[in-house]
Amino acid sequence: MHHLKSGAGFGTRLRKDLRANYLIYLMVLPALAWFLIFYYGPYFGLIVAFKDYRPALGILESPWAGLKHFKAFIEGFYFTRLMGNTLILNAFNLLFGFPAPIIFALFLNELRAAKYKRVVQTVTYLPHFISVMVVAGIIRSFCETDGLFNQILGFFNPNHVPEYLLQVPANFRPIYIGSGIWQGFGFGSIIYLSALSGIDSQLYEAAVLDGAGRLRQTWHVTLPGIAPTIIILFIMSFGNILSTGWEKIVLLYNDAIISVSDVIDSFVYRRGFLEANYSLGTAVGLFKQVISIILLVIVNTVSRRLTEQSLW
Amino acid sequence: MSFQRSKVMALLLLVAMLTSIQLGGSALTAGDYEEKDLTFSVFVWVDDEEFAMFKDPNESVVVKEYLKAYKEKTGRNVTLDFWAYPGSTASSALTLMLADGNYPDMIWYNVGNKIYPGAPDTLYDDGVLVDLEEMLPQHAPHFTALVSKFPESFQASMRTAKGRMFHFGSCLPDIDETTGAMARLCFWGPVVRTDLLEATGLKAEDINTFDDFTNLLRKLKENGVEIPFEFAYGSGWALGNNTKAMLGGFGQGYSYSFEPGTQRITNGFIGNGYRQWLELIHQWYQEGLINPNFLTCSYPEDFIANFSSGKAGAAIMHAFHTIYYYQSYVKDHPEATLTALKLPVTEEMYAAGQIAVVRDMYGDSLTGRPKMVTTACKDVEEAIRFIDFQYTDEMILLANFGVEGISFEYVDGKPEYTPLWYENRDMFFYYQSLWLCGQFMNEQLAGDYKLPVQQDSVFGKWSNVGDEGFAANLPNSGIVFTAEEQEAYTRIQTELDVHIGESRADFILNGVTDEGWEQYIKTCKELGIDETIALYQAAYDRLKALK
Repeated sequence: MHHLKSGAGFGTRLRKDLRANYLIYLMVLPALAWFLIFYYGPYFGLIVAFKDYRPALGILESPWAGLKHFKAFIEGFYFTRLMGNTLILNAFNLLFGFPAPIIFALFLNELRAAKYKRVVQTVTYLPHFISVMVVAGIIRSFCETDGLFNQILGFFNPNHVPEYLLQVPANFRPIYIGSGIWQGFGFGSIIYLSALSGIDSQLYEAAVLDGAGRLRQTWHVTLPGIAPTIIILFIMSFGNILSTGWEKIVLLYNDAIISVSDVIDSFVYRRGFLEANYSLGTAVGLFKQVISIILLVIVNTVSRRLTEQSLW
Repeated sequence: MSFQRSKVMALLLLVAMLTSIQLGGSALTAGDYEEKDLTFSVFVWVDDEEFAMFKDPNESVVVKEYLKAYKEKTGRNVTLDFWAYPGSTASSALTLMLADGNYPDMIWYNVGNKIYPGAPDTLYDDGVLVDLEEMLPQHAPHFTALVSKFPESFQASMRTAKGRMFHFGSCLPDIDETTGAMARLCFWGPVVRTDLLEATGLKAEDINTFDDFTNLLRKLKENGVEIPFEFAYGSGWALGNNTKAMLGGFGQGYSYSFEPGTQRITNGFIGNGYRQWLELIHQWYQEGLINPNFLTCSYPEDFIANFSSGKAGAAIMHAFHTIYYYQSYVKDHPEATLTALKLPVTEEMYAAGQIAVVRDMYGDSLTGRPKMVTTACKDVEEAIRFIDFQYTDEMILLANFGVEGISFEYVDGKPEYTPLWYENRDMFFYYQSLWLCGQFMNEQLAGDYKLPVQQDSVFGKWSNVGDEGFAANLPNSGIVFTAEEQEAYTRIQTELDVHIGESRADFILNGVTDEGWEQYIKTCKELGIDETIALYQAAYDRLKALK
């Protein structure tokens, strides 16, 4: 590749570079088109959030509605509850769900028997590939009065009165988070395992020479080795702090536990999708994204200052 | 299964080909005989399970018979190009079509507010549907004649708030020949497994009040029936109809309905009858008389499974769904039939000789299974005539009973289903597709519409015509909002639904206290229930002004 002299204007540099490396630029085109069509094109549809969208009129012809849909969401009776439930669920998920694959990867890393390790890995990846419909069906069935969970509770406590566990509000979050961990910890550990394999084995040797035991090695070599990965993933998870996905929630919730299980995404599913109120759905989606991006920027900045690790 | 199905289908097709159907009777008045080839594209939804069998409704023998008869009568050789979608994806598919501007000549689907914002009026404003009002007398004489038998307020359900006629309903109520009133409107009611009922020593005719009903459930429990009453909570629509069927016995209307004894609109969910119902269900829950997992119990799947295993004793079901149970279980276990019970009432109502008045969603509308004509249709008049043909006596017979010699026989001059209809699941699906060309309750036929539930016809048990002014008499489907009213209503109602739903579960599980009830009503008011009641009242007043 030809290197350009610095100092010339951006336009001049670009023109020269285009002429010199046109084949490479040509190769970039399909990828660029992909992003434009599938990632930036749909942004045009965000106008729907400011309109009363009527499908037969189309996006442009539909009447303007200003901030009506944003107001309707924010001033809605259940707004605080929806925000609260979403944040609590995601906070618990960060607290318990985020460390789970890290801890698992560390354990896996300590296993020496290669065959056994592979079997464990395969078995733990499996839940990730089960459809959420099936997972929710299994959970519901386990929660029934004669289901597995009630039988276990009955085994430990002879006075246990079986009840449908998903009718008790206090049970919802542990069940939701717990099943989420079960589904994701195996698959989520892959990225940490690959980070672990990148750690220089000389570091371990040096640590051993210094008299470090297993725990010390983990603490002083392994964890610092995968810290950048952990931090990056942690920052990125703030981009989804207001998202939970609606499928599993909608499949698990019922009238008795809706007070703790109704989140922004299930609200969008009910109002936006089931009631064909696409404008409201888009407005809420946009609201969510804007807040998430702000949070992401804040967390990223804090992380850059504290740990010198950041997304950008 | 598939081998058996194809055998049955082959047999059906063969018989259908060999059988010439007598289509005498009323002559068509609209449209002269003129040979013509016509093609209509049709959006239609098909039951999910049925969709697995019939990707193209043209495979249905009934659709074939319909087209054949239409050709014989009018000379029009109609080809239907079905755009068929399974129920689970139909509404989103239709929304996409409307957004795309590429929709078919006809839509055989209820395009309500949940598919198109502000529907139905916005569908005209935005140029999707054709206003058929002025073409009806000339091109749809059979429909016009049939509809004219209904009260004006009832007819209003086929028009928008701005008075535009937008669809042909395919589920029409029956009219009592002697009184001229709409009859047999309720398809939901209590049933109990006959053998389990006999074991209790109780008789169906002695179960009249809620106390009698509770007594029955207790006896079933004593006899070891695990779930004396299967309660449809897990499937929202079935819960609605379960509630509706029982509220009638408390003199309370369901959701937006008349305040008992008046013609003022209220919401049944803040009424005392509703509170009594909640207390009753809570009591049943505490005594272990209903399914402890009712929140997740699906209708009708779990009902049929639990009736078959002997776990469940009684339930409130749609008459038609009992057929599933008969097909899967009773045909091999004839002792386990279902007995229909009367809709129970309170002791006071029983002492006063009052009956439960309930109206079911299908029977109470001209909107059930509607057919609409869109602006994509090049020959609207021909399309109307084609649809109108379904309202001739012959096609009503075809739609309700199918083909003589296959699915029904004449017994003493009246059509009766053959055993094939009850016992063969494939046959049943085949007849579900009858809906495609109009299933509705015709005056003579409905009385003989024999469902497999024992005793006399369920319609005799689940009687449902009360005095003028009775709570449930509000013609729900006649209430048509303007686009503005619809928007205001939806905004409030969606939040109200959440509150009513979660309070209902709480009351059933934990009981109704005075404070709890007061707080519940207070929150309903905060959410704007008075405003939605006023919207209903305004729409109803418009309706009443018609006649």
